[in-house]
Order: sequence, then structure tokens, then C-alpha cells
Amino acid sequence: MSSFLAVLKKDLGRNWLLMLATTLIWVVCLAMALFYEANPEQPLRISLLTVGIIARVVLVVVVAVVVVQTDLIMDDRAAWRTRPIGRTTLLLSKVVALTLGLVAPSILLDTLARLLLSTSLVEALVASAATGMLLLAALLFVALISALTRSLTQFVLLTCAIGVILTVAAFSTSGINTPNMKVQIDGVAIPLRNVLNSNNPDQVSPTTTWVVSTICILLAGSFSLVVTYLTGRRIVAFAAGIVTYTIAVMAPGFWHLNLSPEVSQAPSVAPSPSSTRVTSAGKALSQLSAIRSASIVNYTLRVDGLTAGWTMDWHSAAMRIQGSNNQTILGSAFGSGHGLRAAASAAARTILNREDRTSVLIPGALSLPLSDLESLRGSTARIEGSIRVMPRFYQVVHTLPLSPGTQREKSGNRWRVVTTKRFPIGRNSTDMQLWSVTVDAIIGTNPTSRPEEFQMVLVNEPRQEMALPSLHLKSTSLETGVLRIQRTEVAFARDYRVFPDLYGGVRHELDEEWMKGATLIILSSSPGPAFTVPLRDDEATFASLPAH
Amino acid sequence: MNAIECDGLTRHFGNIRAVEKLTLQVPAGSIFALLGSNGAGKTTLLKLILNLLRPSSGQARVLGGDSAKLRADNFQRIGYVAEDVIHPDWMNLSSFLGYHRSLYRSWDSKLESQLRDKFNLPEGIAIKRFSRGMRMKAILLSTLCFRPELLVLDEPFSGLDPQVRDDLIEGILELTAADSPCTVVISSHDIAEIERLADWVGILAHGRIVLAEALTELQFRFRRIEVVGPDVRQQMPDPAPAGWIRAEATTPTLIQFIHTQFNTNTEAELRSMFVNARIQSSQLSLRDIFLATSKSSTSTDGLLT
Repeated sequence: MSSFLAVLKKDLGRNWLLMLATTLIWVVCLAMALFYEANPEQPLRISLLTVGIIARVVLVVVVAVVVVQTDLIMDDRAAWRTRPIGRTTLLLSKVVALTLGLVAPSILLDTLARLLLSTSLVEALVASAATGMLLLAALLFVALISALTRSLTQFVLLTCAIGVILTVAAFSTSGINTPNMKVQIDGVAIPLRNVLNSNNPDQVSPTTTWVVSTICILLAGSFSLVVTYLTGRRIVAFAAGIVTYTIAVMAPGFWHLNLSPEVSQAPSVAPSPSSTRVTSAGKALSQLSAIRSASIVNYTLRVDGLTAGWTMDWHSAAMRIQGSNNQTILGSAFGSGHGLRAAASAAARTILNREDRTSVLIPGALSLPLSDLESLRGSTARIEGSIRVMPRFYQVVHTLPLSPGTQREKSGNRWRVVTTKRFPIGRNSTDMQLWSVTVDAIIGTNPTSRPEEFQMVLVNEPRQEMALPSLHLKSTSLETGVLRIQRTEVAFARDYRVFPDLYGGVRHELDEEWMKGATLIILSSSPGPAFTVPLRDDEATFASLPAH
Repeated sequence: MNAIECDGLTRHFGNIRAVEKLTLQVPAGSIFALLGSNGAGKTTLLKLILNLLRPSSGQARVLGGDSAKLRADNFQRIGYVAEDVIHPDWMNLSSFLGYHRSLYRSWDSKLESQLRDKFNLPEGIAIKRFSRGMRMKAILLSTLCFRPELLVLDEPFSGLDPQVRDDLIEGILELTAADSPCTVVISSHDIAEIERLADWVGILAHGRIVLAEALTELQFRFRRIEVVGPDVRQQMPDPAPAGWIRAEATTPTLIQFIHTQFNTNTEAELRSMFVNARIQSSQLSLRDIFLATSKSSTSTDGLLT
């Protein structure tokens, strides 16, 4: 115990100044965030905050490296090797030094910042502890690399080498295709590359993934460090690190643990291949743009059989387009879904007591080789392939009266209406008057209360009408780690025709009378398990290929 | 009772055989000097003894336990001083000693006070700003004050001025003069200093032990012999008997050699070998013995007792 305290005291004594500097930088960052939160009229100085956050990250890494490399593990010249200091004691003292010097002040400050934002103590502690856990997981990795090296230079070189290897590995296994890469063909159905089958969902709540991933990475870091310190052998330590971190990164993908309150409130039956039917909308393909040798065309899917609150996004697709002259184009598509209308649907169900839609149209961008497309332009083609869809559940989080200063809080997240004003649109600035609403959202890092996405809609309940965002005028996000202050300015237009086959919304002016009865609805969305469905031969659609 | 016992200890670095099947005993309570030319394997041997390196084969026992199983608690009884050890030298002397004081149960504050007075080290500046000699004194101070049962010193005197050497030697002698037994193993090139300090000597060459015995016995056993007389060159046996090294007939009437197995009967044997010759024997310094063994043939036959 005395040797543990001696080493701890030595490390804290040597690095207290750097640790204090790290804490002070964090104090400044948080103070800035709190200042902007208290003064919504001030423009967010994101670049200044970014500099602060980068400086803090650099200092944290330097402190961690110095603390660990003060007593080298992989060097028989290290003094501790011939002093009464055990390997376990040394490891424990290093982890405690990093926790006391870096993690604990961070948790303390984050908690304080959230308390100043009137968050409850429990919410503040949970959110800050979650951030602290993430910081500790990162620190254990830095400590591991530091233990395997002898100097800051060696640390930087090894980190860069690992970064390069991981980047290359990620690219080579990510399935990113260039437009000219051909997708695999297996009979009529074209299997997707690098996606799991429908019985093994790869999409779980980000909450679940975050928590399980962080715990796994913490365990991997701890185990690797223990092996490194106890054996003192570089090869064994490298092997342990590679194996445990690989398992830690992969394990959460096979683990579905429902921790998110948002997801737990979702209907028990998420859309599945058996309950939903995905077909082509059968519309003409329109060319959106041409990038280098590829053409991006618009392609719309129709999904039937959705349950309340659920909608679909594209995840990815592999398609074969066969022209009337039997010429074939292979194309691929990646997610470009739009949750707006589902958000409207969820709001309509909750606020306006309307029936939910059971079908939805989801437009997607399909990438086709330009050279192949040229010969088929203007003709009709049959489209078939495999599509991977990602269900998404929407629900109302808050209902806010449209008065500046009004705010609501739930699960550590808070929304506040900052301004509402007329927004002229059109050449003469008088063509159409939209209404813009600016909202500050303080979104905590508490993983159990941070859905992936938020949407806003306006509802005039007396009139039973709804306005959807027509233009996203401005969105600025200031993230300190403990919280994110997101300022969003959206222009709304009235759209009371929320029909299943309508995308985008028809704009109608909102007058002052309409706005007086309007309420701002905040909706959150959480993803459900993704699945793959084939566009079978008998469901293949015919579409006109874009003409010049 | 031996403080250290090595049995067939071997350590290879790739194709380099740093220590090869080395067998050695260091008696408890002795000041054992480990001599050897550069690359002889002294530092590797000491690191094997202290479990800083793993042996390729063989084993060492230190203070009765297997050296490969030395744990933190064993270093409450073992001290190690070497020039290349990376210490927390950003500390000043007080912090440095305070840090080490909290590590050892047997820390002798009285001895610390005595040695601080003797070594006269500056208090307020970081140890890394010390001169080489002062730095060695500070490190030795942090090692002597817990009164180790085994003190291992690897080249402690190299590059130090005579005054600092004297201070260090006095510090070491202070420890060995105490009631509690202390074994000191010291590797060095500074044979003159070692001769003042050591009572046992081991000589290492090419990773093997050439000899290891008490200094007094060694100096009795190794003698410079001069045989003077008419035609002694013709009487010189060919080949030279075992135990004679560097034998040469400088002139027809003079033969010189070093006898490595000298004993009370040796002079009588030589007189019977060289009729009408005068036999003169003189004691060798440790330096001469070291040079004689180093420069003799690579064979170590006859050197070991």
C-alpha cells in the first residue's frame, strides 16, 4: 500500500501542473458553453471552442503518456524494476493517477455545468459519469500504447501506424464502392456486400451500442494493460491488445441490449420482412447529378405495412437495371432517407388524433455508371435487386408554446424557443412569407437519453393543421463533450396534406393568426433492426430512364 | 552460506552468447568484485541475477530464492546501483529520498542523515542537474539507507574523480561495517579501487567465469616467478607445466613466468627443476592478476581452483 501511495504521489506531484492546465482549459470551454446558453443572441464561436477542445485532448494525451512512461515497462533500465514496487501496484497507481488527475475533474466539472443548467443531480451525475467512462476508455488505450513505447516520439509513431492500419482495414472491409465497381450477381437477386442477413440485425439503438461498446472497450483496455504490466513482454502485450480490442469492437454488433427509454416505449413490434412489403414506386428515374463517371438518379421505394410511429430509411441497395434491349446496368445506393414525413405522421397521430399511415415512400439516390446509362437513356427498364432498409421510430418528446423563452426539459435534454419571426422568401421578398423559428437544444451526453435524431414540426390544433420545416436556415452545434448546444433556425410552411404519397410538402404561407394557435412539437427518432428485402422478379418495376 | 548461486546460467542475444553456462557462488557477507573486460558479460550477469533479464537456460539463486521469482518484496532486501538506470531525477534530493523512504520498511533515517552529511549534496535543485558524481552519490544514498542485505553495483566508479570514489567507497564500507550482514557485488574496471574494497574476486571472460575466490588466496596463489642461473633456458620444460602462464626465457640465464598455482611447496619444486638457480617469487597486484588472466590463452585451464 505504501509503495502504491508513493508512486501515486510521485506521479501526481510531477504532473499536477499539466493536469491543472487540462482542467482549466475544460473550465474555459464549459464557461463558454454556459455563456452562449445564457445569451442566445450571441453568435456561437465554435472555432474558439474547437481550439480549446483540441488543446485539452492534446494535453490529456501528453499527461497520460508522461504518467505511464515515467516508469517504463518495456525497459530493464527502469528504476522501479529493482525497487519494492510490484507490477500490479504500479499499474494500479497509474490508473488511479490518471483517474484522479484527468477523469475525476472532468466528471466534477461536467456535473457542475449541468447543475448550472438546472439539470437534476442524478441526471447530471449519470451524464457526467457516462462521459467520464468514455474518457477513461480512451485513456486506457493511450496508456497501453504508452506502456508499449519508451518516449513520446515512439508513442506518436506507433499511434500513427495503428491509425494507418485501422484506416486501411476499415476501407478494405467497408464495402465502399466506386461507381464503376460491379456488384455481385447471384441469380435474379443481387446480394448486398458486407451487410448482415435479416435474421441478424446490425442496427440497434445508438444508446445500446454506445454503452456496450464503451464497456467492451474499457474491458479490453483493462485486460490489455494488465497483460502488458504483468508480463512485461512486448509481443504478448501486442497480441493481447489486438485480440481484446478486436473482440471489443466486434462484440457489441452481436449484442442487443435494450437500455434506451425511448426505445423501450416503442411498439413492441418493429417492422420486419414478414410484416412489411417493399416495392418500387414505379416512377420514372430522374437524373440528379453526374459525378465523374457516375450518374446519380432518383429512385423511390414504397414500403407498406408499417406499424404506428415507424417509418423506413434506405440503408443500402444493389440493383440491376435491364433495358428493353437486354442491356444491363448494375447500380448501388446508400442511405438517403428522409424522416420528415414520418415525424409529421407521428405528430399527427399524437396531436391531431389522425390515423397513422401504413405505407411510406422513401426516395433514394442510385449511383449508376454513366457510360452504361448513356445507351439506355430514355428507354424503359426493368429494375430488380436487393434493398436493405432501416426502420426508424418517431415519438413526440415535447410540446412547446411558440413564445420566446419557453423551455421544456426531459431526461437531461432541454429545448427553448429563442425567436419566432417572419421570413420572406422569393425574388421580391414578398412572394411568400414563411415563419422561422429558432430553437436552442441542450442535448446531454447521457447515452440513455440521447436519441439519434430530433425533428421539429408546428401544429395548429384548433385548425387541425400542421406545418413542416420547409427550409433549414441555420444550424450550429457547439459540443463540449458534456453537452451539445444546438441552435437551429427552421422556416415552416403550412402543409395540411400529409398524404402517404407526398414527399417534401406543399408550401403555404403561414399567417399571424395561424401562428398564434401554433405549438412547436419536438420529435425524437430511434432506429430499429435493419433488414434486407429482395425486389423479386415478379415485383420488378419498369421505369423510364432519364433522357438527356 | 552463499548470497548468490549461479548454476549453468546462460543468456544468448541472438547469436551472441553474453553469458555461457556460468556457475558461481558469492559468499554471504563478502564484497565480491566482478572483473572483466568490456563485453565480458558482467552487466548481463548482474541483470540475470536481479531478474531484469530472463536466462536462456540455467538458474540463479539470490538470498536463498530463485532469481526468476524475485518479486517486489524481495527488493526490500536487495539494492541495485547502475549508471544507466532511469531514476525519477526531476526530483530534488529531499523529494527523491522521501520517495524512496516511503518504499522501504527498513529505512534507516540515522544512516540517511550521516550519509547526507558525508556526501554533502545540494538540496534545492533537481537531481538531473547534478554532476555525474553527485548523481551517483544520490542514487547510492537512496540505496544504502534501507540497509540492503545484498547490494549490487554495476560500474559505480566509472568516470568519477578520486574524491567522489572515496566518498562512495566510504559509504559502501559504512554499510558493510554494520552489525547486519551485507553482501556487496560490484562490477568495475577500476581495479585499484576494487582492490581496496573487495575481499572476493571473480573474473569473467567471454561470458564464462575464469576464476572466483577470496582476494587473499588469489594473491597468494598468483605469483610472479623469476628463475636466474646459468643455462636455465635449457632447463625450461617444454611445454610449460600447467599453472604457468606467460612463461618466457628473456635471456639464457633468466626465466620469468606467472605461477597460478603457487603454494608452500612450489619453491622447493622449482629448485629441483632448475639446478643451481636462484628462485624469486613476488606477489601480484589484482591489476596484474587481471591482466595476466585476460591476456593469457583463451583456455582457462589451470586458473580455476
